[in-house]
Amino acid sequence: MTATPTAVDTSWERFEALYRASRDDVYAYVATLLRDAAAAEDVTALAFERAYRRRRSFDRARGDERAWLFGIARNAALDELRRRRRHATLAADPADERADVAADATDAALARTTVRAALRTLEPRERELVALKFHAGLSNAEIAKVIGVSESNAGTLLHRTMTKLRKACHAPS
Amino acid sequence: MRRREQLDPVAARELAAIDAALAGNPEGAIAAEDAELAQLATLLVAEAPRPSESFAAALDARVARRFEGAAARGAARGPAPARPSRVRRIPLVPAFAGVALAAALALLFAFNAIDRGGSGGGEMTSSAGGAAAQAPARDSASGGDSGALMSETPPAAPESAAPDRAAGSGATSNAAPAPATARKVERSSTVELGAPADEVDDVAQGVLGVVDRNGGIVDESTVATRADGGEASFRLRIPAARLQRALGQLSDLPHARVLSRTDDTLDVNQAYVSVRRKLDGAEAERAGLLRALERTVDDAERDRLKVRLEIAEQRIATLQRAQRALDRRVDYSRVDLTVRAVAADDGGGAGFTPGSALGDAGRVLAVTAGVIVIAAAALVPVALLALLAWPLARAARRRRREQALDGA
Repeated sequence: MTATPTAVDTSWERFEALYRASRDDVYAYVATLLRDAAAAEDVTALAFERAYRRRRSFDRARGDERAWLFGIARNAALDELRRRRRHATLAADPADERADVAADATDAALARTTVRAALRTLEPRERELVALKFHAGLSNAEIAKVIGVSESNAGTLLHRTMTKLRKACHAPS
Repeated sequence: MRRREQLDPVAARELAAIDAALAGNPEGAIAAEDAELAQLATLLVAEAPRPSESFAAALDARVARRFEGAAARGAARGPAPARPSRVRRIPLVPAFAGVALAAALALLFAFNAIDRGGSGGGEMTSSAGGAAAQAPARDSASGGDSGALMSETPPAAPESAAPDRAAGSGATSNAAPAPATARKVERSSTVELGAPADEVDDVAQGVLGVVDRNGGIVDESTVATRADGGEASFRLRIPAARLQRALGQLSDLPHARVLSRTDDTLDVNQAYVSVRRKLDGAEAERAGLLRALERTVDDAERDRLKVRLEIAEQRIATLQRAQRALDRRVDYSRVDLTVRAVAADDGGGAGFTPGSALGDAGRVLAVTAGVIVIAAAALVPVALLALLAWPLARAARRRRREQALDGA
């Protein structure tokens, strides 16, 4: 899932390669943003569909394809969030991690539980940064392109988020 | 949140440690103090949601089919992917409206320009004098493609003056000014026709035929034939009721075209009324003298009355002549017409020549260029508005989207 499409491919072949390389990452990003698996599937499919329709309008000079694709996915996800807000529906909550702890009380499970709890303390914008960095695997430059800030600004925001996350992990439960 | 900041060294180091952890910690690039951060990064990666196998398979299949039927599904679920976004449509609405407006203006201009630039090229002017300017103003109609004289609206028929004259010959002493619709108006035209050198004589004969057919009078005519074609000039009087028809026939004479034409209109209503009043007064005076003559028995007085009666009769005769002269001026329009030879490539003939075709082609190109310039002038502000609106609309849409994150 890490193959990068080459410039000599046709638009369809480029899109197909981009899809193969990014499908899971886009889903992970969108799911983190929406916190709703079903909605994330719909939005992921919609994002790829839009990318497919607009594949010929992609301008390589304005950034790489992954940043372009995640920009489309981000817009689709934000549209979904707006739609939800208009319809006053609640985002689905993540599964209750206490059951996992009870079933598998190892250190690793405890660490995962702690991280999940810390993640829930983040603001949506911070959660988005985590998703773009750690779930989608984007570089700081790509993140900057997706969210529309400078690269150094993206780095600062990410560092601030990680600091907050670390504090949340150390905070007494 | 978007303020531009410089990364401090600690932040830069920690971000580098995160990147190293994500890359699998190549060559032990992570310092001991960042080990916990690297572990957190690894845990975060592991927390990435994974798509279900069924969803992945379904999406793979749709991609393989290149999203067949996407439009129908998208219409049912929300905005269709292939449909242009609302933001993209916003600047297009005024743009299309502007284009339509510009096209309408351009077409209007083109038709007007073509009408003005008819191939006849004849010059037509019109002037009016006196208080009846509103009526002859209709004479200033534009020339057609051949500079035809028939483009005018016929003026009010001079026959409408007949009741006034009939009434004037009666005993009405207080002749009120005629209503505006029956004013006495004298019309005249000066027409210059062009004809090929060898056709001047034929055109001159045609002029005489037109005058004859319309019951007109040739006051003067001069036809000079020379090797270069010569010239003919006429001073005509045409019944005012038939003036427009006669001018139309003159413009349609074979081998002739209108080079120029001037229409003049002179309101003689005041002069007419003045003569009428004087005539009525003189006739009333004569009637009074006749009655006094019948009553008097004194010879000296009778002789004195006869002298006065004779003076009154002379005065009446003079005024009647003046009235008849005015009637003639109103009833018959004067037309000064000249026929002169023009070179064949001067458009003197009605035939189609390469020269005239070239001229027409040039005129069409000029009109087309004018249309393009006007359309561009109308489109430039529309395009500027669209250019200004486009980034604003994008920014507004982006802000609305970002607000969704704040409320998530």
